[in-house]
Order: sequence, then C-alpha cells, then structure tokens
Amino acid sequence: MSEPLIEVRNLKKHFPLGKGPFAKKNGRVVKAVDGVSFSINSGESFGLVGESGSGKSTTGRCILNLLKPTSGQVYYDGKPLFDSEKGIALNKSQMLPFRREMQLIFQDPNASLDPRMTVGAIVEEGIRKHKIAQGAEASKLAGDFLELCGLERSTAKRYPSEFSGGQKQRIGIARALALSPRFIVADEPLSALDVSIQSQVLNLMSELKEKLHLTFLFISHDLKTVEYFCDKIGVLYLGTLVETGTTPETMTRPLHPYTQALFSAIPPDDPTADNPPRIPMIGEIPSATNMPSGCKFHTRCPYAVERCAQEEPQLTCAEGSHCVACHRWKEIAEGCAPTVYTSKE
Amino acid sequence: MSKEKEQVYSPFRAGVKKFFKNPFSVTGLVVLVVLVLFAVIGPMVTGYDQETMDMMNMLKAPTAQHLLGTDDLGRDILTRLACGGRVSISVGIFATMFKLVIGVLLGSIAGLYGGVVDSVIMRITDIIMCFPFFVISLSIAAITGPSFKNVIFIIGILGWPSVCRIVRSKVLQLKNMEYVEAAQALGLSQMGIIFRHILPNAMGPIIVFTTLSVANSVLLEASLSFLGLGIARPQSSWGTMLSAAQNTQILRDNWWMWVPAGLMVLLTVLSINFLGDGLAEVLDPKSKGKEGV
Amino acid sequence: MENEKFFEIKDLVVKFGPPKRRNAVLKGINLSVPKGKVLGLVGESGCGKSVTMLSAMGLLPKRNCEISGSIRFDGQELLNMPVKELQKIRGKRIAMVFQEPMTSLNPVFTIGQQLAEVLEQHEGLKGEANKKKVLELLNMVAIPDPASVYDYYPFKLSGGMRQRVMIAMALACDPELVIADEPTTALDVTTQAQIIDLFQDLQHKLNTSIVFISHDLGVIGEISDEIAVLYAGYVMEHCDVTTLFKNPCHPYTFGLMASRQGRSMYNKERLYNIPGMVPSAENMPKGCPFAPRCPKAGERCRQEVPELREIAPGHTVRCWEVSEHV
Repeated sequence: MSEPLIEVRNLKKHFPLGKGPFAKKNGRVVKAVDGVSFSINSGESFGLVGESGSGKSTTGRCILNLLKPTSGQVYYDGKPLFDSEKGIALNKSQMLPFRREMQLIFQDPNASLDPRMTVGAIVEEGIRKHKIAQGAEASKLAGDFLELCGLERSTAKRYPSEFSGGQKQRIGIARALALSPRFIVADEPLSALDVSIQSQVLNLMSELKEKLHLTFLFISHDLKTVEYFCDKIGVLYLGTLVETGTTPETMTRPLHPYTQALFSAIPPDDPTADNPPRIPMIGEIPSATNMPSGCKFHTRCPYAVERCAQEEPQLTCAEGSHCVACHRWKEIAEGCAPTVYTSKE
Repeated sequence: MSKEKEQVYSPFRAGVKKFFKNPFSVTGLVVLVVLVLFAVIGPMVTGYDQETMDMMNMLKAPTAQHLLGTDDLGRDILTRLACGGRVSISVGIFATMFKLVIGVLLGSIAGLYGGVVDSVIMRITDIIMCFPFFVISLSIAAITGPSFKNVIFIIGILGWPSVCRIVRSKVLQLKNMEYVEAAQALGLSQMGIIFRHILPNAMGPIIVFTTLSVANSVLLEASLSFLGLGIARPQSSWGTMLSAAQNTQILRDNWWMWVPAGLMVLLTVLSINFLGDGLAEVLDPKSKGKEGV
Repeated sequence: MENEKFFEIKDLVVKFGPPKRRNAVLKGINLSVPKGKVLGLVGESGCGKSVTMLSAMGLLPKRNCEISGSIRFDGQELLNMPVKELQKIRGKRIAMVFQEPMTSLNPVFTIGQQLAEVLEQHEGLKGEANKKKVLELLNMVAIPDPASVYDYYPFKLSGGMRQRVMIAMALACDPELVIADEPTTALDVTTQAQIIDLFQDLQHKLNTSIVFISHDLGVIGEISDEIAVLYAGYVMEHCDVTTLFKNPCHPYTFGLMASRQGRSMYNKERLYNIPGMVPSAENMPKGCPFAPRCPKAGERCRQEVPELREIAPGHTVRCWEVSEHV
C-alpha cells in the first residue's frame, strides 16, 4: 500500500487571546485544533465533520499552510510541509511548488471572487503566477476549465456580480482546478447554496473527482452530503477527533456518544415513517476559551463517569480502520445504560 | 443575481451611470472643468502678462480693457487671477499626491502586517494629528521660508495621516475577504496581493479622499499665503491676492483686488466638494448599486 | 372542529421596484392555516416565503412596494390596516420569530428587560408580576437558571439560547399565531434538533398555530402538519405532510425531495438534480415559472400559468400535467 497523500499527526493550532503586542504574555489561548491525526490516500475523499467551534476550517487551512500550525506534522506526498519535531516550517517561496498541487474551494461564493476582476482574470491568475501558460494561451486554458465546470467560455469576460451563487461556486472550482492540483480542500462548498443547486455542484464535484483523480478533504457540517461524497469520515468536537473510520463503518455503527447524538439530530428522510427516537443532546457546546477537562465531551455525555472528567481519551482502534476516542466505547456499544455524571466544573 | 446580458456590465460603467444622474456632482464637475480651463488657458487669452506693470493705470476699477481692474502696481487682475489659479490648483494637486504616496503606502503596510509595525505607524499618525495645523505650519515656515515647494511640503506632511488611516481601515477589512485568502492559496506574494486585490478594491475611499484633499489643500494654501507663510510675492496665488485685503483701504475701496480671488477659492472648493460627494455616493459600499466594494 | 380558517391569505400579489420597473415577487399566494396546526412553508431563494409573512405583519417597506389581495386573521383584514390597529395584533395575537438570533436581540438591554417590555406593552404587567411571568417564560423554553439569565446581556448567550429567548418573547402574550422565519437555519445541527423539539413541545402544550418557514425540507417535515411548497412567487403544492412525503405530485416538489434523498452512502449514482436556476423577478418566463426546468413540461405549461387545483381532498397542485391527468 503506497504512502498516503496527506498525513496529519498531532496537529495543534492555538490562537492567543487578546490583541496587541502583549497578547502572548498572558498565556491564555483558544485551542482551535488540539491534537488531530488522520491520513488521506490518493484518490480518496475524507469528510471532516463538526459543528461550530470544532476547528474543521482551521484544520483545513493548517494543512494548506495558510495558517501556521502551532505544533504537529503535516506531510504531503511524503514531504514535510510542517514538522515541529524536526523544526521544519516551509516559508512562502518553499511552499510555492506545493501550492500548485493543493487548492482550496471556499464556502461563500460571494466573498471568494474579487469583484473587480473579470471571471477570466480570476481563473487565469494561478495559471500566470505558476507560469503554466502566458497570454492568449492562458486565456484559452482558463476557458477550458470554465467549460469543464459547466460554464460557457464567454463568462470569462464578465464580472462575478452578474452570476448566481451556484455559478460563482463553479467559477471558484474552475479557479482551483486551473492549476491541475492533486489535492483539494473544500470548505463547506455547498452551505451557501440552495438545495437544488447543491445537487448540481455536488454532481460536478463527483465528476471531476473521478475524471481528474482528485483527492478531497471535504469539510462540512452537513452529514448527508458527507455520507454521499466521502469514503472516510472524521468527526471533530472542540478541536479533537472523536471518531474516524470509513463511511459505511462510521455511519452504520457510530461508536462515540457525540457521533451518535449528531447523527440522530439530522432530520430523517421521511419524517412520516417510523424513525428511531432522537437521542437528546444535553446542554450547549462549551466556549472554546473554557474547555472542559479530560474528555471534552464529558459535560454533555449521557454515559460520562468520573474517569471522563479527569483523563482525555486517545483515539484508539475499535475495529479495522474504525477508531474512537472514548473510554467507554465498548460498554456503550454493548448497550450499557446512560448515567449522568455531573462534573465539578 | 444572474442576468443574461449581451453587453458586459462592469462595475465601472454602472458607477459612471449613477454619477451622472446626480445634478450636484455633474454641476461640480462642469464648474471645476471651467475653472481649470480658465487657469490654464486664461493667461494666454487675456492679452496681458501677469508681471507687466502699468504705472498709468494703478488701482483702476473694472473696465472694458481690464475686466477685473488693475492692482496697486498696475497689473491686470484677471490675468493674475488665472495665473494665481494655476499656482493654487497645482499646490492642491501636488500636496494631495504627496499625501497619497506616503499615506497609501504606510496605510497598506500597517493594515497588512499588523502587530508592531501597525502600532508604530499609528502612533506616528496620532502624534501628527494632534497638532493644530497653523501652529506647526508657522514653525516650519519660519524655518524654511515661504515658497511653492514649502507649501506643498507643509500641507502634505501634515495631511498624510488622514489617508493613511482610511487606507489602513479598508485594508484591515479587505484582508479578511476570502478572495484574498484564495490569492494566498494560489501562491501570490504579499505585495502582489496588495496591488492586485486590495488596492483596487480600496480605491473607492482613496478617490473620494483625493478630491476632498485637493479642495482642502487649495483652501490651506490660500490661508497660508494670506498669512504670508505660503507663496512668496510677487508670484501670484489666490491666497496672496487675498492678502491684499489686509490693507483696510484696499479692503474698503478696491474690492476688485481681493473679492475675485476669494470667489475663486469658494467656487473651486464647493465644486470639488460636490464632485467628491457624488463620487462618494457611487463608490460607497452601502449604496444599493450592483457593486459593493 | 375542522378547518377553521382563522388565518387565510387570498390572491396575495406583492410587487417591488420603482414605478416603471416593478417586478412581482409574489404572484398570487393562496394559503390558510387551520387553528392549532403547523403550516410549513418551504421553498428556495426567490420563492417569496419570507415576503408572504412579512406582508401579513405589515413589515414590508412603504416605498416602491405594491400589495394587493387579502390577508384575513380571525375575520379581520390585515392588509392596509391602520398601524395603530396592527400594533395591537402584532406581538400579542400574531408573533414572529426571526432567523438571526445574533442580531434580533437588542444588545444594550438585558434579557429580562426585553421580555418585560413585551409584557408591559401588551398585557400591562408591571413590577413583580412582570418579573414572575418572565421567569416562567424562560423556564418554558428550557433555559437553564432563568434567574441569572434574567440579568444577562445577549452577548453572553449562545445562538441556541438566544433563539430560545426569541421564542419566549414570541409566546409571551399567548399569541394565537406564531410565524417562525427560518428559526433554525443559523444554528448547528444539534441545536437545531433541540429547537425543533422545543417548538413541537410548545405547540402541543399551548395549541398555538404556527407558520414555519424554511428552505430545509427535512426540518419542515419534522414539525409541520401541512406543507405548502413555494416557487417563484406561487404556491405550487399544498397538502398534509404524509401525502407530501409519500406522494409528491408537483415536479418541483418531487425534484426537491429527490435532490435531498439521494444523499446516502448507498447511492453510487449521480444525484437527481433540477437543471437550471430559479428565474429572477425581472426575467420571469411566460406561463409556468417552473416550465424551463421541468422534465414534464408540455406546450400549455409554457404558455399559460397553471391554476391551483384540488386534485384530492386537502391536496392542491399548480400544474397542468398533474391536474389534467387526475
């Protein structure tokens, strides 16, 4: 089995609280990403799922080196982009060749396109920067990619403001593809679109994934979309991966209590049918500045015991590639009764 | 919103259309153009030279020969007015360019890099903005002496903090836009991002500032020259012509020596302000046009 | 007691724009909400679902806006009602919950003050009686520790909590009708589930009628008794929730369902998608607005706007192909 295309080990990103030159002194941080490890093989789609404050967008940007990680290791195709143990941190010019191979698709189609540039200029920008082509050839290439994304060549002369959300998203995808990358981070690419347009764009992405052998990191809060599009799933909660596994493994048998509650919260396909009762979720997501001790989920977990408040569980292998970070996953899977442990916080 | 249109509907054309619908901005533009033409072509057309002294015709009221009369040395006022206009408007333009070069550069750097660099630049602007304009210009002029170059220098060096702040706040806002992040993901350099993505989208407030700054600089030049700190006589500017009014006899009896200059300043500043307001409306992101910067 | 039409919208047409370029956003909405039931309004952007309800509350702009038709509430005509009269109904008999919990609460007043204001205005409650009722309301929407939250400013609360406060405000005066405009759209999935449960719970307890607006068919399906599907300013289909999910008749409804339901790991095919886009208000096609995207569109569809016809008891559809072949 060849090496994975993307390997992330113990990635951490902490943001200092407070502003100004004295911020670092007071030591308080927001641990947006707190020790995340996973890998993505070439041609695979990895779905990173989580709610607000989970750190999924931050993780994506750290992998692309748009945000400098605090510690951990990020490897692309066996080469280090960031390795705090070995003291490697690529700077801008060293990252340049990698940028061709790793691109990003954004959430907000309105904000991700420069309103003062024509669509053609937007798509060509990367082509010119990386000297793939110049002049008229660059324009032709840009047109090719626009067509690949289901748009007409003539859209190149027009401005983003003339297009709908779905079309703008296609332009964003064309821009990302123009460099012929191998790896794409898609950060909530469908959230800002209408349901019927989502299907169009999702179909486009599926087609391109197959045609161009793309590897995806698909970041989303929409579980159904992730289920459809991705081969593997990772569930993030407050900066930690609580469960990973292949899509069938994770979706049919979620092991972590958070994953179970999350899946149960999705509105069913047919609400009039007999659906299993919803697993209630206690309380609210804690603030990122005031994280619970031990297992971050223990304050809301129906199965929490004392150990959960004291010791943070590590991601352990349950079966095959299905991993879970929970002290009591075996008991829960066997059907133990809920307890409600109120921690002293 | 998508529209299948045959012609390309650029944000620029939309803005131009909107501008011309506003009667004030169009009037401002027209008056300004007339004034500039007057300043540039006027002296060639009047038939007099601004230096020529006619001892026979000193302090004469307006006649057919001298449409605005003559001054205390027999020089034609109309010609001097036009030449003075060249000086005053040039000061306005050059001082503004001076402000822009320093202010836009420092504002972009402060906004983009943040941290210590930002703090230092902001403290400098704070310090400069604290001082009352005339007190400082008095001091500087006392050292350097009045001249065309010095006036531009004084107005410029004391005025760049405003545009610096404007640019900085716009850059702060824009650098969080996703298309800036997209440019970073493509591998563009920091400078490349400033020039290709940030500055073009920050042009709105910068353009508005430019017009208003020209008006303000014309006014400041007039004030400085009136006090004798600006343009040195015998070179004429509207300010020096206005300073004739310091003499109570001239003030009372020879209105043609100073009123036209004052009117010129008034007209210039007003028209530029109307123009600037019109531009602000077009370039203002809160307007309901298609384009939001 | 069946179908007491105590809230009925008839032939509502709303146009926006300067006099020369007025475009119709709503082209003839016909809806009714039976007492004590939940009507779900579902549709994508541009369908007019929010505008429909804003016109019921008299919250549309005055300038460049033309409204015609009828909105009757408990026998009274709401359109063109004088503001003073409308204010007696708004907040007291009809209440509204908005989408953005982050911005719908006033940041400079405490939660207690904002709830107290509503109670004082409409019920005339003051002092201790007022405070007691506020705490009751906060309890009803499952806000933990109401006594402390009473003195909190909105910034201290999360999105889910703020939305509960909004719901409490809406229910403060025991309204007969609650209009909820995308109340869960800005919330996380787990918080959304909590709010849906809360709505269901309250609706059963208080027997309030609810109009629930959303673009999410799943959410609508969970909470509604009846559903109306809107497209480009028309009601395309209106029936009870079971019928909609088991037997959607209108091609657009069918398309929405299929787009949604195909997203499963077992589906290895491309997703069903409705080609094209929603037409903008200025570029409405002749005839049925959905015809350009409809797989079943016939000649008549492209020429004439279909009528809203009842194809089964309680099931209306606006489609020539469907209503002609029943």
